[in-house]
Amino acid sequence: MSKDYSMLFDATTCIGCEACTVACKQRYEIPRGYFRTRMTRTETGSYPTARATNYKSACQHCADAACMQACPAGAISRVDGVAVVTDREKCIGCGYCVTACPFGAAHFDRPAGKADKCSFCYTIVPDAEPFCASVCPVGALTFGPSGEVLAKAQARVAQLTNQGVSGARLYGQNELGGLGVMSVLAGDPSLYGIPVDPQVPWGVRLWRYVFRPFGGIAALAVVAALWMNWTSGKGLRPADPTKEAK
Amino acid sequence: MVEESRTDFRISRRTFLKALGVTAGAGALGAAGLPVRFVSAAERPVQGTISVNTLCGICGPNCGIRAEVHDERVVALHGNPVDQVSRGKLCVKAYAAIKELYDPDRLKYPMKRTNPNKGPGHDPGWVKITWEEAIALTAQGLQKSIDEHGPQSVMFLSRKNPFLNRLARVIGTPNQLRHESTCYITYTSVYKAMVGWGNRTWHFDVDNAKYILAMGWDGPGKAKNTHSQGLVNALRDGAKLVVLDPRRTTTADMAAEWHPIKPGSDLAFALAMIHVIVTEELYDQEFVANYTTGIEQVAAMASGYTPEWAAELTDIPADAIRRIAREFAAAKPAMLVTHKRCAGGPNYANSTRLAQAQLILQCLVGVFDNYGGPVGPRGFPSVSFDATFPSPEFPPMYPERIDGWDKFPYVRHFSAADGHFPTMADGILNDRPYKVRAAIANKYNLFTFPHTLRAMEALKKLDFLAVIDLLPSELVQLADVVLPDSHWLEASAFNVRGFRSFTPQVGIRLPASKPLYDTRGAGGIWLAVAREMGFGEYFEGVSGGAWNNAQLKAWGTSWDELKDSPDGMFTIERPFTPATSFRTKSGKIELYATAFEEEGVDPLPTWKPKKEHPSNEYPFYFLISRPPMHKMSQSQNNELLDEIWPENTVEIHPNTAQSLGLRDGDLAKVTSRVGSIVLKTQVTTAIRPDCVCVMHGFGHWSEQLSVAYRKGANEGDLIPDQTVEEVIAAKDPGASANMCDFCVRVEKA
Repeated sequence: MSKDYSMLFDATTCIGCEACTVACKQRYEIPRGYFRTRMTRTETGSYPTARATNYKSACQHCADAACMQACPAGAISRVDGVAVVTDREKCIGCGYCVTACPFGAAHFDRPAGKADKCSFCYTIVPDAEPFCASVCPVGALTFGPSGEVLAKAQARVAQLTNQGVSGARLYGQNELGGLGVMSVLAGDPSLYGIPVDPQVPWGVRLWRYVFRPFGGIAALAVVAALWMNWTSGKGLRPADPTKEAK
Repeated sequence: MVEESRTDFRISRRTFLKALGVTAGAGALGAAGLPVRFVSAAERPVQGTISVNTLCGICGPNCGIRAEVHDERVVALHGNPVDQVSRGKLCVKAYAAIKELYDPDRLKYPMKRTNPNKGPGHDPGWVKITWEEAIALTAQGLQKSIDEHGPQSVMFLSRKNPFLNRLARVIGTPNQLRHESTCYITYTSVYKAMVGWGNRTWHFDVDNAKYILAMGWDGPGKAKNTHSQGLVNALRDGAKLVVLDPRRTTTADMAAEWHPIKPGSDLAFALAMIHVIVTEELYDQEFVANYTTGIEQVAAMASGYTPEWAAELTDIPADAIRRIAREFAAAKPAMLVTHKRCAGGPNYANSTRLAQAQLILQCLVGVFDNYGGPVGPRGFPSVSFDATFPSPEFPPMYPERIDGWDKFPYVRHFSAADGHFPTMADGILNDRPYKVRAAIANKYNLFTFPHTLRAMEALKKLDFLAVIDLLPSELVQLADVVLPDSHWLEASAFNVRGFRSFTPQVGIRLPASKPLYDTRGAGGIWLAVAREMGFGEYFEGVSGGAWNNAQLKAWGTSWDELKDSPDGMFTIERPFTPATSFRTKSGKIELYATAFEEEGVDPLPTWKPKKEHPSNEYPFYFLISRPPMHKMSQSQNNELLDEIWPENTVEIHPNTAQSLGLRDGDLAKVTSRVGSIVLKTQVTTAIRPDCVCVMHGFGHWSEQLSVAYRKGANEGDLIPDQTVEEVIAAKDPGASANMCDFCVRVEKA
């Protein structure tokens, strides 16, 4: 059954307190050092005109999801037509999803030997809000039917523009076919440390559309997979537990 | 790390090769976007039933909470939507508090020390004892000191509590000290003198403000729940936010304008604003005429304080000061948002004056006790503890205090339960004016004290120290007897709503968890000690339950009614009307503070510079702040919060760091005239080049705090403490502790 929901992150009202991070870690008992969601702080410019932004770094639930296409084990599926979900029982721990994600939002759970990421709280939505959105004290994270969320986001962008925030924009309406988590930004995505034009890596597309459908040509697939692995081994590192999100 | 990575990589590849053929089809199905509903065992969130009404116990507002419980275990906390303060949400510290409740490092039973040597590196040699023994040892410890040195030799370090207050009076000691002196005493003093109200600078309605000026205020950066909600609501509605702060705080990042003001010069900015608003006659004449006195004196005082004069002192151009003053006066309502340790807190020698200038500005724009400005609490009539529990006459109280509080202008009239932390060490170490040899400390840590090492020496000098606390803090390490406190999630209480409450409302705290260990609440401990000391006749009929009910009944409810109410709140629905008279002699807000004049101190906030300035030896201003997810020095052992913000750093401007040869992550030694600390450098564009900043709460040396142990450094080691003479000489009616009024040098460690 396809359901209809999305989440909105309003970076212009986020205070970077990490209540969302704490809620997620508690609810899913995420091991120490790993995060399904985390605030990242990006400082740009120089004193005294420099500024810092907060971004909720987590799976964006892309319509065109690179991780799903990269996964050789069929462990990543779409639930409700929205949420991109990793089945840790099917996951073989190859880490290709971690490498493929244009947002760096999947991580490798080293103790479990599995890939892991935000699941959009698909076992409780849309009857309840995702845990992160439910705890946000300032309403920077909201959840609801996609149409309503989009209308709210557009209204907020218009409001910011009226208030003189020239770079105000909506991020995620069209990126990668539309993101399950849209963001209201006060400026260029690069100010938030996110890609201006996120893409599914072409290696992943090649694998998805050319090699994988012809399962018989296993040797080629293996070669392609090994090559991908070689080009992007960095994704296999666990999330850096010491990463400061100040 | 790299080795480990490679091993896993090889395993993964083998698994991958094996899985390739059989799973490709399933993968394609998922990828094609066909709905697949599955629940993997790993994807089962921890959930329970929202079933207990309680109140947060972390900071002042005591936000209303609804606890989610599963199988007797607290699994999540939610804001209580009926509560005017929490408004259905909580802050990160509250959400994470469950981890603290279940912290295996918690104090689990009363203990006594066996090793007489105290301090870092000395194992106290804890021995488990019963509560009966612990209370008996505590009573004996106090009694021995009374017998040998007199009743004044007993000291209590605690937040206000009527049971403790009575215990101190029965003993006859004037020495109750609390943290107000290092936190917000300047604001308390100004509010009492000018408005006649208590310390209420954090009670406000920023939601409805159209223009918000923050001088060092950083509610969002400290994740203050109701204040952050209010600020964001105001910004969504198009309010303009202007921030003056030597650091680009979270609030500054959200602001339309950030002005990196020179530390300790905010008073000059405020005086220039008063100058512009008064000379250009931009003030709310009706409000000023009806509700205030002293505008003529204020006008005369401000005549020389031009924006050009202030520009030099503040590093902010005169044009900007003039424009901001005009905007502030034109916008309705405009608010000067304050809390505790912002620029008007007890940070600088001129902070009391700034607090007064801020209140004058607020009155000049006609927004006081009204929407979009400071709002006095709409509470319940206070109930007298003494009338509820009459007692025999008390013995005479020793007149002089160990902290000199009785000699400080104006604040000496405050209650006996106030007191001054920064002068405690000097008094005890020099036995001036007398010996203090026994103390009970209730939930304060050593890091609360300026010049922490000296405070430690003073507390080590005591013959007896009992400490009530939840975790084995540094002060616990100095204790002779440890009295383990219950966690607030295990406790019962009530709290009258403040911070942003337009109508009287009281909330109940019910235990979300059964007691996990052999602990007691502080109230019961004060009672037990008093009775053990033979003061039973002064406490006849006194109990937590009886006192709670006496108050609740007077307000039209009861414990049982509140306990059984579905939302844990008792609210009197009453329309909000702004106050029209105030508790001063004139019944008006006294811009010219006659209460200060009577004490022989300046009744107006005339310009006075901060005390210490950069020198060759100490070239940098020192700033202190806090991370959003930590509560002072209490939360660093919380694994969840440690994971997000494990240690503090010294924040340095890139140019300054370069000139000092410091790179991000390098160990730096920061030295003030009283001490040094070593911690990591953090290079940031978010600070003035002539300032450095360190977050408070880190540097724990208690080995029993297994998570927080040895992370970062305690900035309190750098803060100079004070002598009684010094505070008297300052003629400051807010007795500022000068927590940031000193300079430091920084070098590579």
